[in-house]
Amino acid sequence: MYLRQRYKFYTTGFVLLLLLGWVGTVAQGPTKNVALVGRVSDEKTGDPLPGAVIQIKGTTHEVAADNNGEFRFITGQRVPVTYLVSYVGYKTREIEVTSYEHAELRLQGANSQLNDVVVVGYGTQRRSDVTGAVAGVGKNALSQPAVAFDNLLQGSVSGVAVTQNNSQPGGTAAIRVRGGNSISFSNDPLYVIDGFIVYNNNNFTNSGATTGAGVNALATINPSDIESVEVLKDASATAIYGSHGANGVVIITTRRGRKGGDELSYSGYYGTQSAVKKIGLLNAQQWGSLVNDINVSDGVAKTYTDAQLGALGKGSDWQSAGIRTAPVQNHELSVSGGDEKSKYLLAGNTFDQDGILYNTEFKRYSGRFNYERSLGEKFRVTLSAFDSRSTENELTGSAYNSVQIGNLWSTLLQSVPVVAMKNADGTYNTTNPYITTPTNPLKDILSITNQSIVNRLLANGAVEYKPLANLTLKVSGGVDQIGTKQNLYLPATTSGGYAVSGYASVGSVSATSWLNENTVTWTPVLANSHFFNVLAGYTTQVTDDQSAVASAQKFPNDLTTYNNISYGATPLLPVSAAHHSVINSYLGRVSYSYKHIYNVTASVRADGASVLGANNKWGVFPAIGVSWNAGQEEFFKNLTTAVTNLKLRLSAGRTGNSGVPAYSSLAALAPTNYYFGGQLVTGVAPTQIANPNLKWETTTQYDAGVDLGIWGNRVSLTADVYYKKTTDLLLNVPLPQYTGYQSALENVGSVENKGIEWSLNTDNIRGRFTWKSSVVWAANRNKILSLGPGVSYYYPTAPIGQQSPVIVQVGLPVGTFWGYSTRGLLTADDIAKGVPLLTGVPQQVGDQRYVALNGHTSVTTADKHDLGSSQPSFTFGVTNNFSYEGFDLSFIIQGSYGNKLFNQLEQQLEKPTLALNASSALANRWSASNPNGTVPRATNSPVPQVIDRWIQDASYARLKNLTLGYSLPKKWAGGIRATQLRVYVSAQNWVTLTSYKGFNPEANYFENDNTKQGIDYGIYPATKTLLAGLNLTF
Amino acid sequence: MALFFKLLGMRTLLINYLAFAGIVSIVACNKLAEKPAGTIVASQFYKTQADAVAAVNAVYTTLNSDPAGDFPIYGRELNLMTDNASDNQNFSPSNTNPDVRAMSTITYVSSNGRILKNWQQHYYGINRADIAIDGVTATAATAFTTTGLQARLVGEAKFIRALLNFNLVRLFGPVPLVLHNPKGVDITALSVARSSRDSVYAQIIADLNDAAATLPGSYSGADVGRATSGAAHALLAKVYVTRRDWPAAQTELLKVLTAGTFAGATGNYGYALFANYKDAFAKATKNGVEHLFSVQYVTSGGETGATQYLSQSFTSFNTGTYPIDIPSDSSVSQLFADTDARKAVTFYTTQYNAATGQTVVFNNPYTP
Repeated sequence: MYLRQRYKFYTTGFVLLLLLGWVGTVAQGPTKNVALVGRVSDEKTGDPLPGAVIQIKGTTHEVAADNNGEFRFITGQRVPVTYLVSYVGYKTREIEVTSYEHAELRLQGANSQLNDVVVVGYGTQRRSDVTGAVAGVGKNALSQPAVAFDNLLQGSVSGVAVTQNNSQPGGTAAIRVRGGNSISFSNDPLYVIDGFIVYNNNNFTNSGATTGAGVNALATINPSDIESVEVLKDASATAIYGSHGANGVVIITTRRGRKGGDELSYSGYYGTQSAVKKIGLLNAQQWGSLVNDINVSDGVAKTYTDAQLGALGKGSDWQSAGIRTAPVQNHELSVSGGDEKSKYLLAGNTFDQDGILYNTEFKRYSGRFNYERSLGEKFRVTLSAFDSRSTENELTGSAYNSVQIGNLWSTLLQSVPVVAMKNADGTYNTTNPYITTPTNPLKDILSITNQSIVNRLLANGAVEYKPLANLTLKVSGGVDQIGTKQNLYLPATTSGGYAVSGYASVGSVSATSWLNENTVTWTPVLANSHFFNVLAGYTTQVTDDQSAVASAQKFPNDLTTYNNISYGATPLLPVSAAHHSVINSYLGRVSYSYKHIYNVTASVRADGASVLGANNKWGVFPAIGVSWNAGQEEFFKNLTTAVTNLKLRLSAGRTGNSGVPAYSSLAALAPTNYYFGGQLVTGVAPTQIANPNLKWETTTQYDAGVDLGIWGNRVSLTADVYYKKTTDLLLNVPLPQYTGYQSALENVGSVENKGIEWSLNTDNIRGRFTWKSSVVWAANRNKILSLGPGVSYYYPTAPIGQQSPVIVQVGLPVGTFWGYSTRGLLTADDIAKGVPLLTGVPQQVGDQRYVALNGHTSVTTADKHDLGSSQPSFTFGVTNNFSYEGFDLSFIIQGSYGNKLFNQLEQQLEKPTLALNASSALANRWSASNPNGTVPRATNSPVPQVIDRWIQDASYARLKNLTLGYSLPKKWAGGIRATQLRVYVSAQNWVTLTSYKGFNPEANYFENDNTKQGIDYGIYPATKTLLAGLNLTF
Repeated sequence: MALFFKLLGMRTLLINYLAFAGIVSIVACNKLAEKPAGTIVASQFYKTQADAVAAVNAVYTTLNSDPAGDFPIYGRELNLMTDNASDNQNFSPSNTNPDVRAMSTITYVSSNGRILKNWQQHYYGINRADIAIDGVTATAATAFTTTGLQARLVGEAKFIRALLNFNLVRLFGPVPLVLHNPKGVDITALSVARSSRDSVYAQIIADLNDAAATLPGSYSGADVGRATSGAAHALLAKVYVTRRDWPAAQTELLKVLTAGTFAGATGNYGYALFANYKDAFAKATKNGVEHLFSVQYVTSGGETGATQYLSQSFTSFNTGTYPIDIPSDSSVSQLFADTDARKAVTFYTTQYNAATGQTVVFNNPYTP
């Protein structure tokens, strides 16, 4: 009878809750509320522990202690109740109280962090019970000023390599967790923000209307809203995300209100940015001399007489004229608080970063509202809502998809120094005999609009129902909406707009992703030694996007720019597109722990993805992990007292990747055009071959790890080794060209990644002066095992007129640089001896000497070979944190070793021409009068080959952040009724040690194209920042 | 497990779960089957007359545009292979593409990007023709409201397939003869061996005969520019000439030449030479009396990827920059007598710049 009533009660409550939401509260019987009060303090010192969380066991009731450690419940609960008291760095305690009197709850400082709670997929786990490789991001890393949070992961988590693709404000980054699994598709990790799955799809911020590098969709999210970040790395941790887990999972929890009073806080900073470096270019006189030498090699008269050369002087410094010092500022205001039933946080942010190149900027306004409330004792609702509007003014570039390469910055660098930048009257000089239009590259930068405006709403809500103390049913729903509007306007006075009398293009993308998740979590405990955590769930996610681009040219004037393209006399064909995709998933996980010593976690997720072939929509991704807290064994404790924690972990599992665009498996037809009778007609033809067997790309991962804490965890070390093999690669397999198709999307080939990673945290000095350090280090080796039957290599598409500097070849890392080795310059002696010469071009003394392999007698493309790759041997990060009285000092050094870059900018700049400026290296070119010159003699536009000279070591160590802060003593801060007042100064990227010759050892012209990583061609130059900030809390 | 169920109350758990699952099944109605709204798939197409016309239009597209935005076959790509590798034409000093330079210096290898592109573009067009031929043929005859249109469309596609195969067999000798769209992605099934020259020519001749039999002699209005039976006969004649099959060539040529202009000529297409040689290249006289078949271009007509780079050899009026391809040397122009009407039209050293109203003299030391 009792059971029956209970089940009725629960199910009724739950169904009502789902159907009627708030009305679910009526299922709760009315009870008279009483107050339960107390204080949480340190067992030894008696100091209050503000922020400690006190939960009434078996209910969702929890409060946080206020600044004096005091807490207060207004509740229907009656004594005796059991409090579950937790505080970071302390052992969680269960304390039973039997009276309504003020209770003093004392916590014991934990000498192990085993009791900490770790956020894992779809829930939390005690750190002691975790079997997977899960790493948190330290507070120091999270408090760095940054435009997007992916930047904060750099150097702060072992095994997570972050490469800023360019330094454009709001620019994209390439993030790899334990190396890249996929060749053709996304290697970006999955982001889970407050439980909501967010794909980082930069397509949603790019309609195709603008040009140049892309907008980082993550930059639309305010990084200072983030409370904590956990990175799930191995299969045991990520397999619960099944299809999305293969590239690692980054779990982000945003700030919440704390119980125990309301808090108003402001934080802000203001700083200036400047260019890290400039590169060496020829001045006017040097360039004139180069032109003369080219003339000589061509057998024609010199352009400049000696007297004219002397008069050229330094000429125009286009590079310096394009760079400015630019401000960056960030302000945010938040109100938060809570009581025993509700917690809330309301935060607003404004961020504005001008770029160091003119007319570039990233600006963001955002607001967040987080709210949670307990409804009765068994229900809890939570809401996280975030909205932002970001505007990015981008560096104008060429549409680089295989057609052209470069942007206005590289154009500026190549502008000829003998041409004046401005006229005597201060206007821009547009009489430039070296360019085809009467324009000026500096004026182009200032007058072109190339802008993206991104509105983003990220909101999710959840209802939790706890029918029993150990059973939670949770239903959540959320939405991620991205609305992008892009504007491009090239006035007729610019090089791009001249021939077409002005060009405007507008584009929009409207993308919506909604997710529903339904989970049951059951956490029974048997005999106080068998701990279970059982999770089952069903989720469904739908993503829709629609986009359109319209363009016109021939504008009568520049008054309306992109705002009304109907002024353009020649409209161009508009385009629009729509995609719809669905992922349905069933998931389950069982964690079992015996006395928190022996732990096992088994999980499985079945995912169905609409984007895959009709025959293979579903994939099943299982994982198992075991761990042993050897340090907790009695025999071990008897063995040594120095070791406070020793845990061994092992895991194996599978995860998947379905990162192909919608409709990839279908025989899709695309429109084309032709003219009959002078009129445009439409043609329709297939663009891909149907592949109904298209299936999941699967990554199998094995991981072994150890967590070690010694001397009361003053030193703690986590180390892992792993092996990952990705099979059934979703690969654009090159087809025989006579099929009429360049490639077909198939599941063939495999890639492996294996590596070692460790992180070490040390508490070096304690007391009034404290010093804490953290070091992370990771090495990953990536290798292509197979590219399918009959394919041992292929070259990714190169821009027209260039040869691919990279190869995708079995046995090598993805995107290995491929070119010639060189051995100085050809000497008369070499030629007399008959050394192998490059075929196809006449070679003579003073030309590059290429190296022939395997005894070849001449140098052909068969002599190209592996010149290294952009994948580093290892990456590292070092964080140090000092404090003394109110002062705090921290710095983060981060870097990578062994990675190469193809310095294509330098390759192009070392090409002597009659129309473009060149690198200062050419000043030391070989000539009859300079026989010891180190670069080849001047000839007219020689073919730039891919040679070892341009594949440069881009190892670096960077002082990413240095911050000195001072918190005013309470008595002073209290004078303005503040509870916290901290001022700080911070320097970002102030020092970079590298032998790389380009602007920045972090560079990816082709952004997240996996096969073309590490190509540096005129990307937005590196910046350094000096700023001062203030944190104020009332 | 029984122990746990007992501990918790098995029925409670079970029923809670069932209730939960019931709710879930209500929301779980998102289908995995794809129904693209913005993309046509093959199974939806090749049903109507308009579909058939569009399928054949797509075949013509391959002549004047490249899907990747590269030079189209009849926009420079074929010219690079045939003329840069000849004595006529060379890369310009500012052209730094190693593949293009290798064409001129006759040092190209099979992986040369320009050769690959020619090969790729030709088969790209052949594939589009194969698809159109099969698709239009399979379309129900009742779907066509215009009499004879179905046969004409197939004839047009066959004409272009023959043209492209003819180019291929002359450039590469025996080549794979592909007549249908691949059915799947299995690479073994996709592999096709080279066919002998004779088999390729047999297919070309068959296609052209079909085209000549089904195509009209001329088009009007919005169809001008499509392949005609005159073009088919003329191309067939060229094929026979290439095969040294003189009688067959003569038979075809007599069908093309306008009756009365040549002994035995029976043609009624109205072909003739332009009085003014320049008109063969002028925009105003395009699709004129001397043109058997022309690839169609329109300035700023809106088509993407369709750029005719041959006339763009002049990239600017800036005397410091160079065309992308230039005559090999002045000996080319010296082949023509000054009295030859073609010389002044083909070779020049000055050009009128409409934007500035000035005549620019190209006295660059680098101009041959």
